[in-house]
Amino acid sequence: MERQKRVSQRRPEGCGLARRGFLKGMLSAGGMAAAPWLVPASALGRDGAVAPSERIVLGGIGIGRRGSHDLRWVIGEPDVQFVASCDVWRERREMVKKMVDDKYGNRDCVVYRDMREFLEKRTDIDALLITTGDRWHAAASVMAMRAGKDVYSEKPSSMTVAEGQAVVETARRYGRVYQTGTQRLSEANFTVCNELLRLGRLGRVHTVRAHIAGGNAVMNRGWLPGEALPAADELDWDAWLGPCPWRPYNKNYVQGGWRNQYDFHTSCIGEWGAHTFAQCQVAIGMGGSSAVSYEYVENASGDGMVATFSNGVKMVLQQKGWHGSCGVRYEGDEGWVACADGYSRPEASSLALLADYSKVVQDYVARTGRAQNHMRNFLDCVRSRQQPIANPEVMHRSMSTVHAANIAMWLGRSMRYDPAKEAFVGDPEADRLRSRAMRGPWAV
Amino acid sequence: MNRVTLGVLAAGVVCVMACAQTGPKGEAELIAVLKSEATQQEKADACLALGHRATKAAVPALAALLADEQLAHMARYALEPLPDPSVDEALRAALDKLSGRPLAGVAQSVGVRRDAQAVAVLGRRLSEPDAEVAAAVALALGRIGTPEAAAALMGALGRVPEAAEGLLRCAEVLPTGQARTIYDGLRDARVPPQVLSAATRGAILARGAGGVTLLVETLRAEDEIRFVAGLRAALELPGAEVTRALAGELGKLAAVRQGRLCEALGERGDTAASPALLALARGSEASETRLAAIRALVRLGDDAAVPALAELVVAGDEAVAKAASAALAGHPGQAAEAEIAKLLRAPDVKARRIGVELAARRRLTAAVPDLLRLAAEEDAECRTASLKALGELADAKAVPELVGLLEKSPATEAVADALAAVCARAVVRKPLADAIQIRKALYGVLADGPVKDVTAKVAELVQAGERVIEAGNGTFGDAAPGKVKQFRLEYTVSGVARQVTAMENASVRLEAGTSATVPPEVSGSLLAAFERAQGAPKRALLRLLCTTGGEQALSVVRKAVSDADAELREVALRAICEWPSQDALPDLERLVQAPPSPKFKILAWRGYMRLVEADSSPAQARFAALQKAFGWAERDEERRVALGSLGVAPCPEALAFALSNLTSDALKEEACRGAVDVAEALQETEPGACSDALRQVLKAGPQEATLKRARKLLGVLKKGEEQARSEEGFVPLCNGRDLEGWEQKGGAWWKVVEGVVTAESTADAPLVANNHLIWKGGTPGDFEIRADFRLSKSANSGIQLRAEAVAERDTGYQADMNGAGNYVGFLYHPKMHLIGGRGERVTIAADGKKSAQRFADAAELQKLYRVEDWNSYRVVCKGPTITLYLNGVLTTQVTDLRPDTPLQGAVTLQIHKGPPMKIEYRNLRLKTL
Repeated sequence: MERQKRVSQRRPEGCGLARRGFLKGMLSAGGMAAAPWLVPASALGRDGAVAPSERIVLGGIGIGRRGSHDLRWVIGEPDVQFVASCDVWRERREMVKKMVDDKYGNRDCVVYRDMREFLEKRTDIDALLITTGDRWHAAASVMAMRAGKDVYSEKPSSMTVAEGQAVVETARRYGRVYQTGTQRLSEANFTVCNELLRLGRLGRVHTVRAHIAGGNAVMNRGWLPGEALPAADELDWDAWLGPCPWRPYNKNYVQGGWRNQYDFHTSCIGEWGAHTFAQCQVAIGMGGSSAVSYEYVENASGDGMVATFSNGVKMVLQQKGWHGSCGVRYEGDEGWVACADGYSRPEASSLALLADYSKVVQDYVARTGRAQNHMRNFLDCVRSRQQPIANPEVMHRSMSTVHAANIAMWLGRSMRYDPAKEAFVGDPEADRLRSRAMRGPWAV
Repeated sequence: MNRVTLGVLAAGVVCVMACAQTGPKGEAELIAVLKSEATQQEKADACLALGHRATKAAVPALAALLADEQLAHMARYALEPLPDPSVDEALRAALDKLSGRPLAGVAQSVGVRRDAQAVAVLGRRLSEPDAEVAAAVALALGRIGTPEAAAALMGALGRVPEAAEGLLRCAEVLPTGQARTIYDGLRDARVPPQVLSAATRGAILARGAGGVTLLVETLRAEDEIRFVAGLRAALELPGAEVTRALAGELGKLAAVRQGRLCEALGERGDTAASPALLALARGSEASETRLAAIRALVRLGDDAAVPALAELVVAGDEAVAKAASAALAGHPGQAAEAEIAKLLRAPDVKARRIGVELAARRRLTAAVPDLLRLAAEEDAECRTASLKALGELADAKAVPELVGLLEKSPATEAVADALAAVCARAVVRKPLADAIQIRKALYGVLADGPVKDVTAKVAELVQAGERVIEAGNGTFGDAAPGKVKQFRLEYTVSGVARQVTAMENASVRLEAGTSATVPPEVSGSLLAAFERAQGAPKRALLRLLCTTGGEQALSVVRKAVSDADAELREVALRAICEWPSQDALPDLERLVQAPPSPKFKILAWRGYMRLVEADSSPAQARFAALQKAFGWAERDEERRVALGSLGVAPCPEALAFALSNLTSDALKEEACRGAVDVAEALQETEPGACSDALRQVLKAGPQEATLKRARKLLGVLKKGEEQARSEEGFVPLCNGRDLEGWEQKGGAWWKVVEGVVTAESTADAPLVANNHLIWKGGTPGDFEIRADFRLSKSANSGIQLRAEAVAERDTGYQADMNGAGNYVGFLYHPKMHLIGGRGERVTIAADGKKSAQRFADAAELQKLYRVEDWNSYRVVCKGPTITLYLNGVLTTQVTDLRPDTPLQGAVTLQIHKGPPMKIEYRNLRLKTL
């Protein structure tokens, strides 16, 4: 397959906001005037307009169905300018260009096929929206951050423990702002649940319940029959596969059939657990850790598995129990609270728990400075350089719980995990499943 | 996806789990696949399967694939995580031989394995012209991170872009001295801005405590790249000294940078920054900076900052005051509460107002005395806010003072609102005893898994006064370990059936009638004040008496109905119409029939309906009340309400009444709904009448929702009828020839005559003690038994259920029968005698207390019995419930929740001692459920 060799000499001139700030800093000694960092949402002017030079310059990688939702969300924010996107699939490249150009009323959105070329050329871009299929999230995020970009990546943040570690290390190494699209961490309904727990209104919390999607934990490994390979400009199959094992092209994969494939997906546990485990772990103060034990359950999905954290709190994986998707439920000695998508308000053991709903949300926002709008929280942090709510550490640790739960299901046994060593306890076979060799030339 | 591909997908499912189960033997087979002429896919699958369990034995076969463009990656898939030195040897050997992508891949794996012995060869391959190879080699060297690796990378810096990344990685694992050298080298080199930023951060952190100098310098840097790197390092470099140094910089920075450093200080969480942040919160000219400083203070949670925050709440501009106020509201611990108490006593009225708001926001019950004082304030805003807060926070003890306020405060309504809220909370609600009957409770995997019958346990809890059932293992034990369980409960409240399904660990609240009692000190205060008061306060008190209820209060209200003051009369009449308990029913009845004005006729009618619906008297009595209300109604609107409420009075009369209104176009809809509601409640006891009624409803053609429910219920009833008719699963208990499978003792009373099991006593051979024929086929638990029986006039017999296998005495329950028919359709028990009366639904609680509900007339049901002719019995034993049908009609149902009651046992047939008699059974058959 024809591959573009990179030019060995790269000299990007700067990286986005910092570069512009650098120039301004030089021009206006003392930096008092027109510094770029703080455009508080409250100060966005009566007409909401932000000068182009103050906008966060955005790009995208792999914007498809879910990605176009994120794209509409982010280009609706007044202080961003979306300038370019990269995709291995021509159809999607054209779709994104049309969406963006229609929004801005021009023809300026530039599209790329090769991610390396894209990252190398577009030194003007501050932040990237990464909404590829699951297999690419971590690798693309790492490459983007290494190129000096901040990243908003769709969930799940990783396919393996090792990928998650790479995201954490790279973000820390380059001081990048990274957020995963686990947007319920910034939704008032779920925030209230977490705060009720933190404020002790539920008493001592002993059990949390995390919704997992329908389907199986044990995934397909078979190949679909090979079809005629499209021209690379139409669809670059090798790049689509990226770090995953090679298999023959079949259009079904590209059109969403990658789900439930071992190479491309994190199973019914990761599909929603990427959200709900993170929510539960943040709620019980275990955002910096992972569950330490996993009880294998004799079914195909992991429904009913109990994962226990070092603070003694049990998290039960459940496929049912909510009338909406991605539900969580926290249970304490003095009450419980539960929420899922589509709830107008959380459900609770007593109405009194929700009596001061809006005050609880206000206090949370005041205390953390975190907007109840996940994309806004990311953009605010791009400016302030603070850690957003779904930062690499939280996402890596909660995804490690997902990965460990999956591994317990795959190997068919209960496991213990040491979050400090990031290794299973006395299970070298399980340890080997913490990483997967990446297909060259992709590396993190 | 089309069907063909789906099929292929299904066929191609190879699960990792299955591979795991191939065991150590499988490895040899997998290795054989690798060496064979198998397809690429088969070999790739073999590599995947080896991934987590390959041993040294697999290394040669895997290593042989490293040069294979198609399979090199999959070989690495199995090799990379395999902890054996032979893997490193094989990979190093390959490093020297390969080129292109296979080489890049192997380099990566060497890096992941951190093989320090590979540094030399990697160093050589770093000069490959192939950019992909050079990149992979640089990253691998970075991962290995030895001084030699760093040296090789430093040499490639500027030529291989990934060398910078490699160096940064080396610096993270090398001793700090060497790390500093690398970071400083990168800072001085011509590198991209993101590398400069990373190197700057690293250089600060690598200096440890000494890094603070460079950190401060960086924060002062004019360019944004260094400043941002410093900001990141400020989050990471530990130590109070560092915090103080950063705080020291705060005042020196430009305003736009101050805010960002504030946020970083907040994130550090070190209270050493508090004084500087406070100074900024108080003194900065830029409002944004002040807000950022306050936000940071909130995150520090420093008690020392609380008084200053309180100051800002009062003195700051609007945005600052709001932020400070939010900070105080959310500040954990006592310090903020003490400060709020101070605000409540502040001389400045604005401060007091804010204090009230904060007290309410923090739910500070300790502030109630202050709030009571402020509720009498001059300042109207403060007064109103205090009263509102009191409504949320005060308890019964505050009632006398609030009543006092009501009498003198100008804000009558606000005080009355607060009092109403306090009184509502002070009311003690107790569930009405016996209102709830537990019918059936199950816990487990309801759909298809193990399920435990927990009816007895739930009944015991309810008997003990529980109204919230914790549906979890703690209550019931684990019915299905490792599974997510559910809980389903069927119960009745005053005869109205309810059902609830909940997931494991849910708290299931039983809806039930409650009695509300007002603590005497509350009602006493209100009544005494009412006697004294005049005008508006008196009227307010009367309204309050309505919300609290109680006998004394009602008599006061009754008196006020004929008070000289017209305004007070009006309030009293309204109070009667809104009275919360049943004791106002006679008043309402009088009021509907002789209203002082048309308005009160309507209001009283509505009040009457409300109380009837909440009533806990038997269904027939409730229906009688509804019928009365229907009769009083002058408008169709009200008649419709009455018909729509029939569901609260489920009895055959209500069903008939609903049907009698189907012909009226104006009432049809609600009549249909009422009929369906009643039919839902009566479906078991009156299946025939319900089916007829539902057919009439369908014919009348109500709206979609009711139509659907009627169709669904009719379907259920039909299915029930079919089940009752169906013989599927039944096993005959008699072979038709002899008593094979039965045991006879104490005489040869039983025999089989022409296929009929017969027992006979005669004058010549009288029976002096009861005798039982014992079925030897088992001791079923949940089962249904069906039989036809014929009795001579003086005969007395019965089928024993869940009995002991004894011939000489009566044990267990008995589906009773006698020749005259007066005991037919009863359930009998030797110790409790006729426990299930004909036409009764009976519950025996865990403590043995019996309660019964009549659903049909006993004499009417007896008419089903044909004297000296064949009749049929159908007996269903399921869990604690035994249900008896005579000739297809339900005659009794008993739910016995006593914990020591056996839930399984023998089946025997009785012949009673006494006069000569003949007893015949045929078609005896049983089905276990």
